[in-house]
Amino acid sequence: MWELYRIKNVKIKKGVKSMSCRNFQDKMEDYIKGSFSQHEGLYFDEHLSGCDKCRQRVADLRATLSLLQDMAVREVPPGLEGRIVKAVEPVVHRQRNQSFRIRKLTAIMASAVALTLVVLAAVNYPWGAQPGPSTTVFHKQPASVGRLHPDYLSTSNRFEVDFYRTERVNGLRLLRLNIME
Amino acid sequence: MDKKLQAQIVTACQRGDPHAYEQLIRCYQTQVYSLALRMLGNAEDAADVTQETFIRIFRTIDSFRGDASFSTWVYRVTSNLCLDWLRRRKRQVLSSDAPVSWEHETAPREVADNAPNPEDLLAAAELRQEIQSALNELESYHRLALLLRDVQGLSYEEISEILNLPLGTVKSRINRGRKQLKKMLQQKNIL
Ligand SMILES: [Zn+2]
Repeated sequence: MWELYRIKNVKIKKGVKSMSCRNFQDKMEDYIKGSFSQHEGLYFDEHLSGCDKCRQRVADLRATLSLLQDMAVREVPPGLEGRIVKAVEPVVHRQRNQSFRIRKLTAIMASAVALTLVVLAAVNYPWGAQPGPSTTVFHKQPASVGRLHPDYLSTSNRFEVDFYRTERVNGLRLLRLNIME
Repeated sequence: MDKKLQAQIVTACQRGDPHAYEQLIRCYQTQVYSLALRMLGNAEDAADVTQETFIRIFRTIDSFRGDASFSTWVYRVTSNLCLDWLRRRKRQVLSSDAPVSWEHETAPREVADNAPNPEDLLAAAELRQEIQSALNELESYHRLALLLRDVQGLSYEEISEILNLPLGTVKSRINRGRKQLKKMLQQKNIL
């Protein structure tokens, strides 16, 4: 690393460590793009004033970068968009069906769970009287859509295989359920 | 593009909104095609890879979690498919010796005022073809890093994320690519 603090009053003091070609080349892109401080600029100018090779390097890189900028494509060839839309249709369709099936299955399972809870409460099962985490959560959920943490699922209601990947919030794997009334 | 709108389109796609898919294609097709064209050097392959990229994107869009920018993710998928394509093509060329058809450049669209004359347009198209053939000579990893930086205009940090490489490696690939390209351009008397 080259040093900047030896510059005083925007003049390079005698004996200042000048920039090496290598250091200049490391910073050459910044120099060309004008992203450097006034102090750095002094070092650049000082180096360039005494180095033909780096002056040539600057000219070459500047020309290369400007040629490359013109290589960006501003628009796709006619017809390509339609072709892509057509090509992705089966994929999109399959995914939509899949997510519909998942939603449907989720709803069925959720209503089964809800029914079980109702039955448990009706027979005054010990869990019903003193609800464990699973029942508590179900009662706290709003009527339509609720989020269930997998920890709250009792062992009889395991459906993690298909559904745990549906949502991840703050690093927690959450399951979105459509709870039927 | 507006980050918020971008996120909305992605979420709509994840929900299966049929209109969102087309919107997403429209938003990202130029970025994908531009990189593929300069990476592969011909329009036909670039169109194929662009299509392949979107199929891959929609197949895996559910796994996208908004922690990275979607554009970065799209670039990553495009980059990987371009490299795969080049590997496959290399094998094909080696086995069948089939000639590779290079891009046929079209002249840029005319601008209404001070429209360039046809000779200038032709010269510009020829120049781009020359530069493309110089790019084709670069090692593919160097070319990819260079294109992301100097054609697509991404930052070193973004490129490091796209390629999943340390910043130092990215810088050295870009520098090597530039050096090599300069040599090629000098040989062609462009520089
Ligand atoms: Zn020098």
